[in-house]
Parts: sequence; structure tokens; C-alpha cells
Amino acid sequence: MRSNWMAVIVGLGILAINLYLLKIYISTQAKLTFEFILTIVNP
Amino acid sequence: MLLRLIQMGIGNLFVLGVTIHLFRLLRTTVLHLDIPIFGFLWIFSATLFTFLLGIFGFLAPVPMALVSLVGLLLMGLHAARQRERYVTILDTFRTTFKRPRFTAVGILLAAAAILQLLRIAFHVWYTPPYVHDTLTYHLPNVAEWVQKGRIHAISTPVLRSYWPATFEVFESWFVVFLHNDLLIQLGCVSCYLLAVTSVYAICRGLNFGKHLSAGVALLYAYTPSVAIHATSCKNDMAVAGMYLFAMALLVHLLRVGDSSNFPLSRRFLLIAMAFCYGFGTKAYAVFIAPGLILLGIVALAKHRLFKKAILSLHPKNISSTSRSILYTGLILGSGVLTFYWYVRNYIIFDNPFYPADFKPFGYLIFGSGAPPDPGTSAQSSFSFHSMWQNARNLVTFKILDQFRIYTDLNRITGWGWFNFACGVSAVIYGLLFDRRVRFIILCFVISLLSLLGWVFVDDWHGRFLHFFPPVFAIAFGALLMCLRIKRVQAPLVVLAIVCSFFNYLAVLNVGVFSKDDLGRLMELPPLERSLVNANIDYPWVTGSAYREVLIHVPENEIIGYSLKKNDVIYPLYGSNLSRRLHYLPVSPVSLVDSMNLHGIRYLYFPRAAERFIGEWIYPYGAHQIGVRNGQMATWINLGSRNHEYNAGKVQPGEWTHLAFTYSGDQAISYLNAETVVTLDYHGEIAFNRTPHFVIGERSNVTMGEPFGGMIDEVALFHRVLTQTEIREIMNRGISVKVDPGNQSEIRLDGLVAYYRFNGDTKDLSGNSHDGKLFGRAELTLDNGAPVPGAKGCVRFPGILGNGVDCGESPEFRIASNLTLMAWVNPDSVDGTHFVAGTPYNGGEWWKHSRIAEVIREDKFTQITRHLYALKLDGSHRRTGDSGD
Repeated sequence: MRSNWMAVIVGLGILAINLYLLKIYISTQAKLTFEFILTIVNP
Repeated sequence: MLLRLIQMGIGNLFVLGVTIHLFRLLRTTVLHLDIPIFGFLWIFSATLFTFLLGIFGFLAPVPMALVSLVGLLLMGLHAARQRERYVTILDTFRTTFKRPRFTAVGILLAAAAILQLLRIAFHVWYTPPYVHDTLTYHLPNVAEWVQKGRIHAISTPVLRSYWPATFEVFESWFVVFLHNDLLIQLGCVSCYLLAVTSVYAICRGLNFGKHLSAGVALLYAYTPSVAIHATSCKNDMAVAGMYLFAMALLVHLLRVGDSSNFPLSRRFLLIAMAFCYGFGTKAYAVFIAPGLILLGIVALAKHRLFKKAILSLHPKNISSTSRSILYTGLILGSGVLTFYWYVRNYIIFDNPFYPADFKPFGYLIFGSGAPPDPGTSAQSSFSFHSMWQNARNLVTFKILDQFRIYTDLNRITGWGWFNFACGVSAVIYGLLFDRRVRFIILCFVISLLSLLGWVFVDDWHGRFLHFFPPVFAIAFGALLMCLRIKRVQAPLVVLAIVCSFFNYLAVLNVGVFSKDDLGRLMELPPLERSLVNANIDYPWVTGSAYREVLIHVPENEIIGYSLKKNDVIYPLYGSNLSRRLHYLPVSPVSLVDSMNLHGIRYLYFPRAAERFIGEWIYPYGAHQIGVRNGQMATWINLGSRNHEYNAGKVQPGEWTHLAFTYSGDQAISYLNAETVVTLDYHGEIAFNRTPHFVIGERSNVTMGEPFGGMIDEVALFHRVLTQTEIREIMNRGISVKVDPGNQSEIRLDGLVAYYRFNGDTKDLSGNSHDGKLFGRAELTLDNGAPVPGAKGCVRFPGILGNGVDCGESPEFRIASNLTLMAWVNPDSVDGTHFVAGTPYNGGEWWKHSRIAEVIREDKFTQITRHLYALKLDGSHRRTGDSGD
């Protein structure tokens, strides 16, 4: 039971870190990716 | 076309047969290892077959199909005799793939794999090669080999063409039968699949479940930098594939130890073959090897296999004689594929690593020692500074991918959404808490750091890192296994899927083609798809410009071309690689001679300003002396006319004094102070820019053959010296302040530059035009001109890229009243060798693409001289027309 709780805490912690990193990445790459996709779809 | 397809079918059947035969002898019976082993053996067999036929001049559909046919017959006879062994292999495959269980996860994974494969198939079929590096130096090799039917060192100014090219041999396999580059990307795709299946094998070796392993392999396969390179025609994917393949074999050894089904000798053989393939593809395979070496040592130590490993290498311990012969053959084959390039370069250039130097820890072993040139060369040595700076740039800047993901991976890693947003934290977790993957992560990191220490601190090495992203996916897989509860795993998996989907979008069309581009490509017939035919223009490749060239030049004409070391030439071969190209070095004299010699009527100058075409015939600012075919050569360019003449006799291995004067009305050449020619020329030497004085070799362009031998006592006067003065200088040298013991009556007025090379390259005229040695030109104190006070000279090795650069200066702008002299002791007097002078200088030529059609009979009889330049906007313009 204890290890299950540990798994939940670690998992949520890592998910939080991942979401934070994703936020950083979105600020740089997301705009470029979507701008580029738009140029393909509707140049 | 049907015949070519049949020939291709026969060739592929043969290579498949060889692969199955090798696989029968080298497989492991562990399915997850057998998949990449089969793939690797197929790549290896196709490459070796192409190489062996290519090296003997049989790189053509008919001989290859014939050899394949004979091979197939022999294999058929062999297989009939040992039918049961082949049946066993088929049974293994049949039982493995029989009745696949359709689970939701399995279907999802299969769908993801198919989605990526569809994207790749689209690009293979519809898009032509487009990456700058491939168009400059990978594919011209392939085009020349396939066109000429043999593998050879091509003549080109793009020095990177001389890098090892095992992967280009493999690419030739996809080109040779169709004589077309339609399927050329399949070379990269094969290596991509090898890399992805190897990641699957690594995960299985780490006891991951099948679905988890497949998921991890797909996460890697969706990494933008990797996915984009799968159809790039670049060779980096091959190195990554070989690295990961070797790692899969070593991880299995680490986990399982030695096994009777897969003895150490077989494992080492496959690893050695993979390493050789990588090293023959790109030398940085060595830089990333340390992680694998560490993994191998630890695996052997863990299972106490060192002694057994050493014994296993002894031929006696290989189960049978036929197997020993096979192993020897494979090692020899791998060795040939690898070392051919290095030995060839050693023979031609005296440096196996040409055009890079080899100077580990600062000690120059091979190469010129010239300042390294990022982009065309390598750092050539390991440096902790590079390692630190590159690692810092990686984690603080490049990993963020702040620029659009494109194949060159300049300033970015291209590792994408998943590796950054999920992989980074998983790697940190794995390093801290998960023993299962900690050591594997460490091995990857060691390889990475080693690589970063060997490459320049620059923006361009992202494409060397394809071997590394599996570390993120593997760590993520291990993390999921640690977090056993499904509800905890689920959000992480969803995040990974979302990130991978964005990765997919980012490389949907490899980051370059617009919708219109793709539309035009798709409308073209498959065998005619090229950047040229689709009129696709990028900053680095202007398809429309090449199109103009191919339309203008008739198909049976040779296209002469002159370009810089990094210009794109591949599109001129045409998509069926039928156009004949011939490289002509830029030089006002040898260029014209070469054209006449090779019957070339069309010249292509990428990025050459229209003015350059004029300069080529009328190069401004050139007054030069040299040696040409046993005579003293003089070049002088007066406004719109280029004059050159040879006179006297120069012997190799003897000191000879050359001098040349031009008064504005008369040019005189002296050999050992005797007049050898006097010509009435009128006019001023025109300069279009600040002149550049050089000795031994023109630093910006090549002219004829590089000077080999010794040069001493070079002097330039802004005054016409009399014959008596020239004789005095020849016999007694020039009196200057630093040499007070050598008094003479020579008037020093007008002395612009004077080099004695007595242990330095100082200008003794007092004008501070000090020279700088470049390349392998070196000062020597053992020898010198036969003049009092001449204690040394400068020696040139007779290969390209060596000289003394005396810099640019308005004082070298001597339009008339000029004297130029030097002592020379050439190793050879055959061909054309530049000694000293101010050749016309470039820097401003390379701006626009131009093609010139030359309709001239003879330059020196000067009967007709018409020079046409075709502007690539379609209009013709006559730039020179002289009837004199």
C-alpha cells in the first residue's frame, strides 16, 4: 500500500514537471509548428 | 523500363538470398535481436555487393543482374542440398508471426507505426533529395559513380566529397538499376528502421514487455530529428543505426551473458561489422564509441567472460572451418568497406582523414595544420573546452528547439516535444532511482560527451546526435514500469502520445516544401521528380536556376562547372543522372585550356556575379610570374586584355632567378638576369579592388598545379629595374638595414616588398607587408638561393592549399613601372606553377548564378572571342565580344 502511494506521488510529481517543461517548449516550438502547418494548409 | 525493373528484381533477390544465408549462420534465435540482425545483414550485403562491383567498374544494371543471376543459381543449388536448414528458419518465422493477438494497445501501436511509415513512403515517392549537404557532396559521388559505372575519387572542389562514403555506396544500390534517384531515400529509411528495431531490442534486453518496448521504439521513431532524417539522404542515420544495433547486442550480453545460441564470437563479429560500417560512413562513429566500449567491458566483467571473450576470438574456437572462412570473409569485407576511403585518401592526399587533420591532443599526425574550417573540416582533436561549451549549449539552448525543425538541425537538436517534455524528467528519475536503466543512460551520456568534445563549438552538430534520443524513450519506458498503477501511468502515456502527435506534425513535410511545391512535384511523372523540374527555389538551391541551365545546354554537351567548396551541383545531373559534368578550376588560363582540352563549350558558375565572367577572360590586376612546362611563365592583364607567355628554360631541382618588368610600354622577362623575351605592350594594369600579393599559391583560387619546391628572395618594386640592376640583385641580393654586412649599390627606392625568408616571413622593405605562411608551406634554414646572405627559404609541398599570404595593400596597386622577381627551385616544371604576384582576387564574384556559353576558337590566336552569359532570369546578354 505504501509503495502505491509513493507511485502516485512520484507519478504526479513527474507529470507536473513534464507539464511545466511542456509549457516552456510550447513557448518556443508550438508557434513555429502551427505557423508552418498553416502555410501548408493555406499558403 | 520493364527490363530495368527485372534487373532490379534479380539484384534484390540475390542480395536477399545472401542475407538469408548469412542470417542462417549468424542469427540468435532470440526474435527481438534477430530482427535488427536481419536488417543489418541486408544493409551490409547490399553495400558490399555494390562496392565490390563498383570498385571493379561493373556498377551498371546488366553486369550486376548477371552476377546476381549466377549467384542466385549457385545459392539455389546450395539451398536444395541443405533444404531442411532453410525450412527451419521459415518455421521459426511462421510460428512467431502466426495468429497475432489483436489487443487494443497492439492495434494502437501498429496504427502509429503505419502512420509514420505512410509519411515516409510519401516522401520517398514524391520528394526529391533536397538537403544542402547531400546536394553538395553526398549525391554527386553517387551520380558520378552510377554514371561512370565505377566507384572512384571524383574531381571536385567540394573537399567534403572525399570523406568516407560507405553509406553513399549503399545509396547507389537504390539508384543503379533505375538510373534515377526516385528511390534513393530508401537507403536512409533502411538505416532508420534498423535504428528503431534496435531500440526495440534494447528495451526487450532490459526486460521491458513487448508492447512497452514497441511503444518506446515508436517514441524514438517519432523524434522529429530522426523522422526527418529518415528521408534526408544524409548518412547520420546510418551511424545512429549502427550504434544502436551494437548497443542492442551489448545490452543483451549484459542481461543474459553468454549463450550457446549466440556465442561471443558471433556477437563480436556483428559488433565489429557494425562499427566498421559506421566508421566507413562517418569518422565520428569513433567519437561515440566510448559508451559502447564501457557497456561491453561491464557486461563481460559482470558475467566474468573476459577470458572466454579472448578465447572466442581464436579461429580454433569457432565451431567449423566453413564458419571460420565465413567470419574471415565478413571481417575482410567490413575492413574493405571501411578502410578503402582512408587508404585512398592517404595515397592521394597523404592524409587518411582528408580534408580534416588528425591531431589528437594538439599533436599533428596527419593534415596540413591549417586553421580548421568549420563546416568543411573537423576539429581533429578532443578538447574539454569543446565538450563543456557544447554540453552547455545543448542543455541551455539547443534542446529548446527555438527555430523551425529542419534537416540541417542548425542551432536546434530537433528532439522535439516528447523528449523535452517527458524524456528529460524520466532520464533524471532513471539516473536517481532506477538501477535498471541508470547504467544504460550513463553509457549514452558518455558517448554524447565524447562526441561533444571532438566537435567544434558550433551550431551544426545536432545531426550527429541521432543515436542519443533513445535514452529519453527508454528512461520513460522504465519510469512507466516503476509506476505500476495504471491510473498513474495513464496521464503520462497520454502526454507522450500528444507530444508525439505534435512531433509528427512538425515533420509532416520535412519542414521545407510548401503546398504548391508538393503539388508540382506530385504532378510530375515519378522518374522526373526533381527540384529542377518542379522549379522549387530555396536560399540554398534554386531549382529554377538549374532548370534554365539544363534547358539551355544541349543534352549531349558537357557542362563545365566551377564552384566554391560548398556549392550545390547535384541537380545539374538531372533526375536520371544522365548529364555529364566536368569540374574546371577557376583560373583565367587553365580554365580556358581545360575547356579546349575537354571539348567543353558551356560553363556554369553558381553565384558568380556577371562581372566575374568578364574577369575570367579579362582578369584585372594580375601580374604574376611562374613556371610552366619547363619555361618561365609571365602573366599580365592590361585592362581588357590578358597576356601570357612562356620563355627560357627552367630546370627542376636547380635555383633559377626569374624577373619581370613592365614599364607601361614594354614588358621584359629575365631568366638568370638574361633577357628572354621583350614585348611591346601598352596600357595600364587595371585593378578592380585592392590587390593581394601572394607567393607559392594563390590563396583564393587554384591555378594549374600547386608549386612544389623552394622559393627565395622575392621582391616587388614600383620601378622598372635595368638589366644591370637585376643582375646585381641576382648576384648580391638587396642591401637592407637588417643585413648591414651585405653592402651593394642597388638603389632601394621603389622597393615595395622584399622577402628573404631567413627564418621568417618578414617584409624587409620597411613597408610592413609581412607574409603569413598558410597550409604546409614551411620555412627552412637548410637551403637558400645562391646569394650572399640568403640563409633560408620557404619550401612548398606541391599540393593544394599552401603558400605565403602577404596581404592586401594599396601599395601593391602598381599599374605600370613594375619589377617582380624571385629565386625558384621547383621540384617539377611540368604543368603550370604560380610563383609570385598579385592575382585577381575574388570575394565579390559569387553572388548570382550564371552560365556562360563560350563560342571561341582560340584564345591566343585571337581570331574570334565571343563570350555569352545567360542570365538566369531567362534573358541572354553578351558580356564580351572582341574581334581583335
